[in-house]
Amino acid sequence: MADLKVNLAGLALDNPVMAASGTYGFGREFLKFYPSSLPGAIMAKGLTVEPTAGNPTPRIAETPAGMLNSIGLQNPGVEAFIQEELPWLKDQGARVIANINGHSLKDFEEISRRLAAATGLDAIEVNISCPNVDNGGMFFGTDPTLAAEVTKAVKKHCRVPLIIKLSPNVTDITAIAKAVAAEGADMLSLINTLLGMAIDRKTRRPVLARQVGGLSGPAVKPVALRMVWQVAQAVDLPIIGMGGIVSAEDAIEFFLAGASAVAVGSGNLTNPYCIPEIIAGIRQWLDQEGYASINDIRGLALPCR
Amino acid sequence: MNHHSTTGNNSGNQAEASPLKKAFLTRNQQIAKGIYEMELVEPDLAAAAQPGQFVMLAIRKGVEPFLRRPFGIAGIQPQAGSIRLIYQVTGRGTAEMAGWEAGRLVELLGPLGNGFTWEEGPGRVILAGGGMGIAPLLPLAKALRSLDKDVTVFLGARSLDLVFGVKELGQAGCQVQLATEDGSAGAAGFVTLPLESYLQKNISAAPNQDHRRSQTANQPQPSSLQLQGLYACGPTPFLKAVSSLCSRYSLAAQLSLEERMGCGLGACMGCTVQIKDGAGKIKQQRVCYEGPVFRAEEVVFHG
Repeated sequence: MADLKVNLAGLALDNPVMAASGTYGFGREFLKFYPSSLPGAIMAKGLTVEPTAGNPTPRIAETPAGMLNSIGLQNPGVEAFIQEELPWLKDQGARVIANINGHSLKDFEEISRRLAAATGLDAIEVNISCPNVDNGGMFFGTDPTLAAEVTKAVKKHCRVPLIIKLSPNVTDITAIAKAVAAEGADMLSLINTLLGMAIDRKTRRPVLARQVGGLSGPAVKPVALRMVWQVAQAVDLPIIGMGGIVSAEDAIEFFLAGASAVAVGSGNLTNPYCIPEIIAGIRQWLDQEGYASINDIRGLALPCR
Repeated sequence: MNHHSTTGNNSGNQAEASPLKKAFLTRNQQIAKGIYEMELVEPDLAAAAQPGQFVMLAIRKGVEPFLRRPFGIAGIQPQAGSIRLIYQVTGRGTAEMAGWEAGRLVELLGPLGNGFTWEEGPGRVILAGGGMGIAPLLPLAKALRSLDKDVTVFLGARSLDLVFGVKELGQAGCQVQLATEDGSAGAAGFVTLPLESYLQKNISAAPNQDHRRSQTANQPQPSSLQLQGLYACGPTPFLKAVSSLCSRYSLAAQLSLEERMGCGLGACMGCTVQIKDGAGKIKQQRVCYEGPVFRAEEVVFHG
């Protein structure tokens, strides 16, 4: 039977299928479906220094083969995470990745400084790609210089593997990837959501109260695959591929494009068993095709080098 | 009215049953203009369901339409092992559902959320439903009637062709007051008007006077029972109007709120509402998880 273990820049995981940040809360809501220790890791709900209320509703709009969200990083703040959510998740045997956000470089530094004192954290994912907040958010992820500055600021305090989550809302994602790699990113996760909108013909108004939101779901998968494939050729860092993964077949395509692991986002919202189904499906496919591990298929779709 | 419930909320370390179920569709028929009723057999679901809870139905073939659709449970028949949903065709999901035939297996999550709660013992209650908001009040009306409570239902709709549930509520022994916006049936205008005159009559009158009148009439008057509370479901402007009426007449009320949902499981934070506690502190709560039923005085309405 194929071995699903992966090692991402020192982060050793039992399997390569993670829960993507913002679609899984802090894991509690999925406990009635399967144990929190089952996903390769849980990328917890995006954190800010202070508690954040998020945007007005409606925050959700369905779109063809996907959805828009404009949640706006609603979260209880980094202290509540350190005091309550992280210890609870560790008790459950989960591997935990904190997703951090900031409106300024100072915010990013402050939050990573506080997380440095937390015990049990497995990695930090820096969100420089949230399209749903006015200050900061995606702003840092669309400019190579700013992206590098955030990476450097967090790296100073980071004692665990550092993941930078990239935005697809850029002309050249490889430029951002190279910039953060140069400042000490240990791995990259991509893609965050694509900025989009939906309009209600009946009211003649945008559906979302914030007007625009982040597009996710199967609709974005081809874009995500292309970007993973490009970034895998541009930098020599492990990639956590995400964007529209709802099946084992989707996940396998990301490994072939060069990802070392994958994350499931909106798939969790529509099918709560999405992650266990994908883990089982990957193993079955590897066995069927005669591969021993994820490593054996990683990057097979990349141009010969 | 107490708001504690054991359903759906705050999973600790204790293992909870998975809400994912496959239900057998036995009936799906039109009951009003563009409004359908479906019966789904799933004995565990029917045994666990409480008035005010909801289900998330999967409609997709492949990945389309992507999200599940939330529906308040509109009937609970534990003996038959079935629940009922009442839905209006408003988009591609409900249009697809209207074409489903008996014999189909429907995948759903449920029962979800926290339902209505009520006081033990005899009393009078008011139910107020606006539009499709009447649907989740139907099983509540029956539950309250089975406790011998005196139930008055205020039912508002745009027009007569969109009205449903009147006969059923009457058969269950409820008093029904209907209002339509176009005056095609019942009182003309918003249903909050007859509701307000009812509250005026029944709450501003001195209770001991009421009592004497019922004695001289030498007949048991339902109005001599204590008014225990109001339950409402409907569009947000309607709930806001009902809520302000209840606060004016100091009547305890529970509102079933509606928001666009992503998952129905509390994971996506899509359906957040602002809820204020006794000290006036505002908390972010999820309609799908801490709700959909909230006490009226704790709901912060915007706009």
